[in-house]
Amino acid sequence: MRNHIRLLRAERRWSQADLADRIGVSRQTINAIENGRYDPSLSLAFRLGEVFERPIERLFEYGDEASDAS
Amino acid sequence: MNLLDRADVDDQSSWPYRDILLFGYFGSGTPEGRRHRNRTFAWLAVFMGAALVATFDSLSWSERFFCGVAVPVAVAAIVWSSVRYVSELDELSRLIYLQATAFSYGAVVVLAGMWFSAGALGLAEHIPGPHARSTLAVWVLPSLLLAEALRGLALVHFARSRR
Repeated sequence: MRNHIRLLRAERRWSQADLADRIGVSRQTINAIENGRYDPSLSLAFRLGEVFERPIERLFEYGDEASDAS
Repeated sequence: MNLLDRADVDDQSSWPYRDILLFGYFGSGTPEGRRHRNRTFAWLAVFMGAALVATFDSLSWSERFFCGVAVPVAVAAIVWSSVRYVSELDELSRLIYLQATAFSYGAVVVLAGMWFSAGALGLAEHIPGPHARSTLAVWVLPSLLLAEALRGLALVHFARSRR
């Protein structure tokens, strides 16, 4: 699963800890998602969509490639 | 420095490996971690106190009662605290915790089975510890069967809760 979380977070100048606080998970979870090592649950994906004000299909793309930064 | 480079600053992933290795949890940096640590240490103190009292030469009825009750209650409380802690973790931490628990359970079952086989095949004399006809036969195999039966019941319970 490819995602654009790192880029969207960088655009807002949030740290991983900032984003983690906003959606109620640990910073390590954000790091694992950004690096493509963990695919979040549907509810967490929707929470990410909420804080970035985008539908989840704009955050995640199905495929073998890793995320933006990796 | 572009946006993505800046996003990497201060964002290196770091799990609290010291707490994970020494205490088996994700550290006291979160409220749930602190609660779990405090509860566990408090009940460990009760456990150690009871274990200390049990070493006394002559125990009164009340001291014996304290030891008999405090130890299982403390163990149950620590297990309960661990279950509460897992339920309060975020989804990735919970997944990792459960994977580690499943791995350790499986590893212990395999080791116990190997130990039992060593005893049953007459190799027990080369292995320090319980003999095949005593402790191994009495405890190891029934413990394996009990653990597997409990695992089956737990699977049924959690599967039914998500019908």
